[in-house]
Amino acid sequence: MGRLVQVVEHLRDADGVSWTARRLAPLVAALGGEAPILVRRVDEALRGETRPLPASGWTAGDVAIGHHSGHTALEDFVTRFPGRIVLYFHNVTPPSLLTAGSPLAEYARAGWAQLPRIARAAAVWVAPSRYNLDALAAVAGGVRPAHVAPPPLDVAAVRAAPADPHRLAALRARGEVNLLFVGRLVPNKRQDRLLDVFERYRRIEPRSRLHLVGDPTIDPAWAAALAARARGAPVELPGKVSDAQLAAYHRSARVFVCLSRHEGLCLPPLTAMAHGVPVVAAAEAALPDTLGGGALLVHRDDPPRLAELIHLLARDEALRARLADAGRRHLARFAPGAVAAALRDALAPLGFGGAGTPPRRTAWGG
Amino acid sequence: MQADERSARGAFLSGPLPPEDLARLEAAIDTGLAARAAGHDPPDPTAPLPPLPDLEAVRAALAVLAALPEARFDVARGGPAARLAKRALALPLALLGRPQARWNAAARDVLARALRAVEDAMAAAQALRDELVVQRAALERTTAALARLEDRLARLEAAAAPAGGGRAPGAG
Repeated sequence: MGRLVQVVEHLRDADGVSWTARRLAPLVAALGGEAPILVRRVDEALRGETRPLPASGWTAGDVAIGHHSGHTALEDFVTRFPGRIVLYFHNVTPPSLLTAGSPLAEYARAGWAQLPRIARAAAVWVAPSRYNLDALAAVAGGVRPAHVAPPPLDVAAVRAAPADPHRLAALRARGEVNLLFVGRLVPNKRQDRLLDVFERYRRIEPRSRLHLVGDPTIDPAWAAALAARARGAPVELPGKVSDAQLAAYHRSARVFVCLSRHEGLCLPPLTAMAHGVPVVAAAEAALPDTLGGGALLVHRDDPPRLAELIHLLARDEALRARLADAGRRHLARFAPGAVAAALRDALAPLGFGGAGTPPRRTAWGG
Repeated sequence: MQADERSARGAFLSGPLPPEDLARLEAAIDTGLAARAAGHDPPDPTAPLPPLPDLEAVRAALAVLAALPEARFDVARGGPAARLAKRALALPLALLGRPQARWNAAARDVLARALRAVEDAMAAAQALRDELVVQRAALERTTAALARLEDRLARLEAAAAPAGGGRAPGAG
């Protein structure tokens, strides 16, 4: 039997693709694969979870799960791989939703250009949402066995994670209604529209504050424009935060609001659900698929109506409890056991995870 | 899919609630929008209090009105013939102007009473403002106490929770 590995060009801290690969690693190992992720580059903090991607030494019996979310330097590796490629498609943001001419838009444009070649080189397609598989089929010019296998989300572990006590105290100190969104500061996340909605909401609930947590370095011009609008308003842009700080934001949040125009999955609102925070999201891209069972979806861009909805969600304890229950039920499909079963379905035809496959010992976490 | 069906019907909302509950939620949104359109926004408790009106100008105007002499000829000025003529003309003016004088006195009285009522209302408003300041200070103290308690709770939770895993996505 050959090797089963995950391949990520650059494994980063606090990045959705990397987070997914890291959460899938123990499941891959349990199916007879290797837990360490093969990488070209890695953030130092994660080095222990990786090994360098070898350029040669592969056989026809090997299986490589390649993660795709934009332009990759691994196209040659994928198209020349002698074994079988499993394409894990995270989706790619349409360049039209990004700042024209920005490096991020170019990264996305190049990613879409590569995608048909990479999709055709793959034997199996896997994605965190049905929406992504449909997008893949639309550009690939062919079909492959396709499976939905989102990253696993352990609700108990999320809820038990420690929160930064100082940040939590600061967030609660003012006695305000905290609205939260988590995601890098880029145009497709629509933080600008969130500011519009918050302006309306403040007229209803003056003792409120909007927290836009996320990396401001991806599109500095966009981040600067958001910061200029936030100046003088009760809007916080804390930038990157640690796990413990993020837990504090979730524990102090009254409502999580996501108006993103394009997502292949969107983990932050799922994390909010795990914390029992009511989620309201725009019914865009994969969000109806990945959140719909546990969140309220809005179908029109209407800030006054959305502000009223947030007001109801922030005040109505019975409604909040019902949505928290729905969120917990919805997250069952992201439970490690459910994801492991989906991954097994995808990999069994390739010789991994079927009856008799011995689990390998893993270097970490497996 | 329920979300698609609701969207196709032009609904604003879909979600994990029965259709009748979603409809109630949309109705509550409409009610809120209508109330706000009618100007029923709740006041901002952090906003500075509006100043009370200054009545000094009104008092001064009323004093001028009270001191206003009746419209008569000045019989102390002019020559003997002129003073005689003025006295003769002032007689019918005094007779014919008496009702007007009574009306003027009544109007001055009404204005004075209205001024006293406004002054009483302003005294009551000042008392309410003083009470509001006291209540806001009490609210500040309660909020600070709550923050201290929540800080203690967070520290206890942090001490009780097990160590966590890697950083979640989206945060960075």
